[in-house]
Amino acid sequence: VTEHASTSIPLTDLPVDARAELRFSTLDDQTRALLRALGLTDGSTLRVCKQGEPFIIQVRATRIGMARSVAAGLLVEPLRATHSHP
Amino acid sequence: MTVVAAPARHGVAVADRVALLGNPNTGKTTIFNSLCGARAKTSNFPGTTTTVRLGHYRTGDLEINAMDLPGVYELNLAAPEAEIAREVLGGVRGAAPGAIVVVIDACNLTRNLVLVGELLAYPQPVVVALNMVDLAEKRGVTIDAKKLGRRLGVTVVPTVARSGEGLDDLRAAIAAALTAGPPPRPADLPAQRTPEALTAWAESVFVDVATIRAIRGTDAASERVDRMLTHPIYGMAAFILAMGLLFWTLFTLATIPMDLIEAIFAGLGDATRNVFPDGPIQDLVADGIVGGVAGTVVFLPQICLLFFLISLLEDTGYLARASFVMDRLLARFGLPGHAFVPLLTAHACAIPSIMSTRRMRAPPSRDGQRRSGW
Repeated sequence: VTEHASTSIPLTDLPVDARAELRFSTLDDQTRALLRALGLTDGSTLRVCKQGEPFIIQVRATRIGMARSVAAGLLVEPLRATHSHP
Repeated sequence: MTVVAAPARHGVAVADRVALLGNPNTGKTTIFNSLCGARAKTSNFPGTTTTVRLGHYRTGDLEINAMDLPGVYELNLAAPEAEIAREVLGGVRGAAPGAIVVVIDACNLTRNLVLVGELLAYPQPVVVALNMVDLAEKRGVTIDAKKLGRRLGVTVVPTVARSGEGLDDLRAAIAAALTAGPPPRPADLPAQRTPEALTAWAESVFVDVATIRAIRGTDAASERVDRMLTHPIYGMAAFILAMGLLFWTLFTLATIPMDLIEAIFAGLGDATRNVFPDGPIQDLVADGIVGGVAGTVVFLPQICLLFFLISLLEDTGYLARASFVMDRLLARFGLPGHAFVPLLTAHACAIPSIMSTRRMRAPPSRDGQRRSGW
């Protein structure tokens, strides 16, 4: 976790269309549990669809809108762009 | 398509309980309505504001009592909907259902399979209604229902709830499940039912059963629409336009049946005045009974049309986007974004408005979520 922490950044720091892997969160347990149930499991790949308020992301086939403050609590490791376009 | 023969039960009809579960917005209630028709009734669980719909229907000799449970993403969540689902399935609230029908959205299969994975741990037989297969096809995703059924060890019925496709097969599959024994658990289902383990399992099932064709930019287009509709300025403009259109349609169209109803009842009042002599009896019938019923019935077209238009907005996904736009404004009053629906309906009548407040799933204990715009 410490190793990941050093390279992880808040999801809100990513530009639109960037992909990243979810590492951990600074959110409260209840919010985290709800996001997990919506498919934002540890290690899942997220894509930023819209910056700002609301912050929209895509996880697998689902797009999810959330408050920017919630997205800022998700710490991710950016993936290279070439990764997503085989 | 999976077709299951109706069970060979004869003689006395047997009532069996079936619970319908699924993620929110999977078309579960549409399926429930198609199964049970207008005979369903809505009630609250004692001591909760969470509603459940109860209905019944017949398949051959079998009388089936169906229960439409509130939408849940996961059974292990600490949300009231999940708690109630756990209690119903575990037999804490009345007799446990004899079978579980889980409605899943073919467009979001992985997320929906997590709930299926949780339900497979229960002893009851499970029937999967693979809904919105038409929409998934349009998005380039084809799901092999038979293969999915083999992977899960249960009957999977592809359905399109809106058009009623697959519902006869679903009825037959439910009847068969009620008479069958508990299903064997899939061998690869993770023993540890954490969201991560279940998601990994769901992903492996998805890869196994789904064929994905190239998608023709539909996602990019709908993302552009998303950005526009949730934009602080354009989003608000779109909201004002949509609401203006809604009210204009409502008042323009509803006046036609309303004028008709008023005319009919006015004629009926005059007719009763001719039948009865002047006096208290005439007043009671013409003004009291006919006038009273007219005063209530006249609002029916407006209420029905408003509900229809709101459900249209909901089905297109606009309400979800509009909630984000309104969240900024309503947060100042301590309300969540989707509180605009009751506020909106209150313009026509207070009763549907109060009824629609049950959409606001945010008791005080979940205040944090409410403010963060869920």
